Amino acid sequence: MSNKNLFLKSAFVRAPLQNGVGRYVCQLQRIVLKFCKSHGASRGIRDFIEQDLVDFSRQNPGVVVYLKPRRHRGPVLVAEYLNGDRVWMSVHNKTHSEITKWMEVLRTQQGDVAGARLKKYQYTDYPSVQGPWTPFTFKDPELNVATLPDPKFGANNRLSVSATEKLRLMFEKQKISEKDMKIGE
Amino acid sequence: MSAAKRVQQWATFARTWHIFDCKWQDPYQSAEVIKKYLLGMHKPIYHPMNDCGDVVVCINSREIALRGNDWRQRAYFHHTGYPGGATWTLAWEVHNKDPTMIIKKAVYKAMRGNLQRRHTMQRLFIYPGEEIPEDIVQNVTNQIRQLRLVPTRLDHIDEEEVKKFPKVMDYPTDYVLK
Amino acid sequence: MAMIRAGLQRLASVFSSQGGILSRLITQNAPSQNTTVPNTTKDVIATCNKLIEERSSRNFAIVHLLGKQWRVTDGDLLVVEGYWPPNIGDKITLDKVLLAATKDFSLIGRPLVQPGLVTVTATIISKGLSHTRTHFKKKRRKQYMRINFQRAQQTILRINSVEIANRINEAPNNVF
Repeated sequence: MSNKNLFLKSAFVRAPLQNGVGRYVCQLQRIVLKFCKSHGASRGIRDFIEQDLVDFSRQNPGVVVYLKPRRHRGPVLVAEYLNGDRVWMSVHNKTHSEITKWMEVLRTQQGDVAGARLKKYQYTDYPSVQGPWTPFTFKDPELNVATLPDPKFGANNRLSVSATEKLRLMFEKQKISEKDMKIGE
Repeated sequence: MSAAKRVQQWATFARTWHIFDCKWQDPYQSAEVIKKYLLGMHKPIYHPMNDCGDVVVCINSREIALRGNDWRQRAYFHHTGYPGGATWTLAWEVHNKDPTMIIKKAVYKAMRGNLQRRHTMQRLFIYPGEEIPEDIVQNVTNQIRQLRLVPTRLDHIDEEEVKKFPKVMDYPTDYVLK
Repeated sequence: MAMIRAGLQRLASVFSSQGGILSRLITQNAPSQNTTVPNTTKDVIATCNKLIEERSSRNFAIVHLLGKQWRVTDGDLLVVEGYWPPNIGDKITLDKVLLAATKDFSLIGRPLVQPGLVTVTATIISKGLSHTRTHFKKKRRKQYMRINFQRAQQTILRINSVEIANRINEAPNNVF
């Protein structure tokens, strides 16, 4: 019916090498900024390189930053991650602030997250702690030895107390019991 | 899969056989509950594509109780497929002919009209009285609770309980009841 | 008469619940006559406290985060959508715990469990954008067609630990 599975792969949530369980490691390995020194489309990236790139590389010592000035070619960011993903992004005619935001996205991702649709938003190695459900989990164990049909298990047990029963209980309560008689004596 | 996992899978997806006593119950109200068990909707592992429905055995279908004037007024439609083959049969006539039909039609109506309905209905067994074949009774492991109260007949209550029950007044000894 | 008897039994069970209200929290407990069922609420709490101190099994908790409830245990991953300030590498505690359980007992909160009792810690692993979702609208025969491309911010969390740190009723009061 749908052909989305042909161009949009689906995957479960995964993190490479138990990242975060012990120590957390930034997943971005290297980032290459390719730009033109004179063309107008690279203005944003040139401003970024002049103003914010050094701070970026100082704050992320684990990321290798490459600069590739290329004439007559459009500006591009290529990020490579520790799990081998390669993300190619064109920054043609993007402003300095936009590029800063995209750099932040590339830095905090753990690979090409947008390449696949997530099937579920959770992943666990231990789906059951108290034991998986079986049909006997919340059943009365006496059913094992009962001969069915049995009115004990078949009759409705969630009915509210009827008026007659209520009156009878009130009567029982107000009766003078033997204890009261003895106290009276 | 490994042996332990296979046992776990078998335990979780096992098909349970339930028994339901239709005595003095409204078929349409009970059909809602029975349908839940037939489809497997009472299980946390339910999914429409997962064949997780259970078997339900209904007994005493001859003793069902329709509401109000339904025995006289409710009519069931049937068409043979041939021209002039439409019949409207009243509930009491249907019940006399086949005591299992009314509850079967009620459960069929309660389900969604998809292609799985006929297959799910094959998991429902209905018996007019208390007699159930041996091989089916042996499979039954659970009982579905009834929805309506089955009141006890006054002449079925024990003598002692009747005597113990508190009285507001009593007739004098020489009073003659007509 | 059977109905009257049944009604009396039900009322009796309400007035004197066997094993205290918390006994239904013990999952191993069989519903009918069992000689090992403790008689008072204090015994149940004492047994649970002993099990807490033993720390023998894996715990799980149901946590309320960003408007949704998640079933969480040690070492599992969670993806939350939408704008969320915490950055990568930050360690976080998830405080709104609705239910915490081990293999032997569960603590059900109404609606939350005591604040200092359960600690759920997590680390942010990744913050990226989801795949492009296309929102396509069309009204047929009216020449109206719109397409909207949307990418949501997704944060991936790794749950480091779910611990029942203190004994029941002995958690510190001013946690927040």
